[in-house]
Amino acid sequence: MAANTIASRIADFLKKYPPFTSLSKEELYRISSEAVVCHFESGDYVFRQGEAGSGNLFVVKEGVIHLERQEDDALVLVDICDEGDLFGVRAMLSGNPYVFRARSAEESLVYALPVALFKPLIENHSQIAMFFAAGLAGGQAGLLDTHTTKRFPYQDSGSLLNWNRPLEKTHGELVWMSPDKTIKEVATAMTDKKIGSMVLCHVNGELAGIVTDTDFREKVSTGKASIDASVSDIMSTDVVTMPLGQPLSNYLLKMLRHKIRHICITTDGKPIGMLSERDLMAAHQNHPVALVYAIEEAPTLQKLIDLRNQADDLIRFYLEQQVSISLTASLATHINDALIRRVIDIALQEVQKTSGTPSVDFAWISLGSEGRSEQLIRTDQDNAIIYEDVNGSTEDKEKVKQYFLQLGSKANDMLAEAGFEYCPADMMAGNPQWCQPLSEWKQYFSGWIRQPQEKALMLSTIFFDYRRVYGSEALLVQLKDHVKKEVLEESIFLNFLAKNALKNPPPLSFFKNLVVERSGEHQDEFDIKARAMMPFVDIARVLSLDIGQLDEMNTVARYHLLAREEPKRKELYHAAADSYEYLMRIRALNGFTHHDSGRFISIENLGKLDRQILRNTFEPIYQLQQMLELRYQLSYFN
Amino acid sequence: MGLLSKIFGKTPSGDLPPFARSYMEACRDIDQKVPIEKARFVVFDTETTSLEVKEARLLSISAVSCTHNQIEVSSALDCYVAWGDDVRPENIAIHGITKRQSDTGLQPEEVIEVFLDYIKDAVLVAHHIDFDISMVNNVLNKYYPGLKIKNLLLDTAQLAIRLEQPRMSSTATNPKDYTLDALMGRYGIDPLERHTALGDAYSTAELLIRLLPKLRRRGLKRVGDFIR
Repeated sequence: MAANTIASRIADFLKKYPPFTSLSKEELYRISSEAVVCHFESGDYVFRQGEAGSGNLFVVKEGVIHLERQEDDALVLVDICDEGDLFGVRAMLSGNPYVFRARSAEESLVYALPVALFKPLIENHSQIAMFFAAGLAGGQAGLLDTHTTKRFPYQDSGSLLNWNRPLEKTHGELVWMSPDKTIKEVATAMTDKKIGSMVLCHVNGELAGIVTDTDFREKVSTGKASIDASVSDIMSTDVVTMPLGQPLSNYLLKMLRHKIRHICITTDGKPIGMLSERDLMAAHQNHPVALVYAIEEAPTLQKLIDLRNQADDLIRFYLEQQVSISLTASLATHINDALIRRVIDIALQEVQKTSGTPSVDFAWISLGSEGRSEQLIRTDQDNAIIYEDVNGSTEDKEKVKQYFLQLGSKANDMLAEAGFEYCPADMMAGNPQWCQPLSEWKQYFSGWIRQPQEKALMLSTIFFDYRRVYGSEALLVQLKDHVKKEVLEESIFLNFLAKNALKNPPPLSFFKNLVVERSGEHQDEFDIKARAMMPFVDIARVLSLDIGQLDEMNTVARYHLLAREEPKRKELYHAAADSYEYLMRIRALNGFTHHDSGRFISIENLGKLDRQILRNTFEPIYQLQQMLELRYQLSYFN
Repeated sequence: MGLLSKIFGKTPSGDLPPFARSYMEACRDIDQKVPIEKARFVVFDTETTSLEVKEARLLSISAVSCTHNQIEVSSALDCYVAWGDDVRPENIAIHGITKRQSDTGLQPEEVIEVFLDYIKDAVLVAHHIDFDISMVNNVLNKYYPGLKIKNLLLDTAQLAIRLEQPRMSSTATNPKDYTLDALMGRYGIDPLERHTALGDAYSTAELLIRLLPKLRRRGLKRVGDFIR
């Protein structure tokens, strides 16, 4: 007898949640009609640690299930599953006993779904396989690696329609030679034709391989191969090929992902030409390199503003196409830096008209997120000027100060016009307080380090993430040496900084439905910056200072360096880096959607999958905060 | 129950078809000492043309099976009775059972056979079970005189009253507080599809699996403890 109403109802429920969203109606119905509806009182176990797999997957219909792991004397909360969450996956995939227990934290209704029904689904649906492989179900660890985040379905960016234009022909004829030729013959031909690579084809037209300048450098000049040997000895045979007729964006993405500059274009499997990054750039003026060049040469502020707006489209496109965040962030940083340098140039020209050239060296530093090279979206500007100490009368000193203040204010104004809003706390180069000679900066830092009051700590979190964008590197080196020495001498400062990094509410309380802002303009929104990103940033800063690492300010890079320094915590640091990249991505996409800084996320509008990943990013925060507590003895520290 | 049922069970069994005899025999071995987590419960609901047992006609009968406090969706039973045109009830519309569904239903004899086979060995559960049992017994008696439902019976309305007002007699409670709708609201049960037999049977089963653990904590541990 058909169980239609009940099964259809369960199917209706399941289809709202990943990975069930990608199943057909029939598949959902088939799973649902085999479901067992289980009821648990608060405190009941769905399964216990060490128990053999039950042959079921579990989906929470109502209530809350805690996944807990017994470790020696401690009980560790692994995950909290609420409505729509799937758990019990690991035992299903591995066939091993449960590695943690599932306990009902309140009266709960759980659907048990037979594993046998999932096996064929995993084989037929890449999304389902991906979901399990990516560890997105409850209690699965090790999520968020770049391979998985690449494939989340975001819509196409409408603003870059011409990227969807198909490639119709390659630039010029294919130049090729036979793989039987000698290295010398091929090198000579390449030199004559002024090309950096040569395609090698068999007589029947089939692709054999490719040689590039690099091969000659690495395999010939080093003496590994003789110049009279056959070129087939040094060619690489795994040539990246793509057929003609794909959208331009596909070729670009392929290059970005494989970190290559050339793709061999084929029709019917036979090479017909090479497509270079440069060709694509010509086909589309929005190429990042073209943009940076254009910014560097922009004659007017207006032109700069236009170019920067264009850059947003490009950054958004990269984000939506799941190009790695580090690449996208470094692109955005390059573009912003180029723009800032161009703005300073223009400002300098104007100041020079009345006041001549600067009498001492100076450096323009970016602070905060721009200092950490993490600004995907234009936010408030945070910057400062450091100039060389002036020997002379108070009057001379004042004159130099006024000069740089004028420069600072002009640049601040222009940056504001280009969409980088004024810093509400006035941490800008045009503010007399933040436009100072090196000696004064040294004193600032010493003061923050030696008297870490609340205000000083707040400033530390901004000023310790400084990066030179324009001007003298020597000034920065001197400052860095000073700071390093001071931190070493006054190591108690790190305890204060660590304490400060813990002032955000512990992420565990976010678990159930995420903590959203309770009042004001951003009611029912989640402050992703304060509650998720800042803890990662603050913790990375403390730990980096602790190991004397003052060169790399980028949070992701800081965690990777920490992982190298402290291999036994490698996994945690990598998880932190991955989580932070993920947070950067959703914040930026949210910002692009709402034309703001993206800091407040509406949880309602976030898909279940993103909600799960977001929630999973809190686990490393929690672990890092616990680590800090112990390392800096913060429970005894006030 | 033992003596009576033995006497009663013996008399007509000679005339009954094999499935009915095997049902009767299974009921003879009912053990009230079975712990509730081991017992199999069948939660059922009937749709009828009237609330007056004497004039009502059975339209459909649906049930789900429930063990270890779990409802097995695949076990659901959903039978429409195919009455001939001459006996087709007039007010069929209110139940949403179309003529076609009724036509594709089972013959009354088949429904009896399927249902008795399904409920064998189980504790029968329904909301206001007396009515449903009377309806089923009417049909049984019509086709197989002397055949009656012999299972242990549980009424979810009575269970809820026992849980919520243990010291009061059931007559002192307001019946309005113990309708299926009222209890579903109180226990946070999403309505599935009200006023279809299967929808109500499932909702009643959800109510049952919420009530049983709570009553178990009151010391009601064996099936017999629930039967008054």
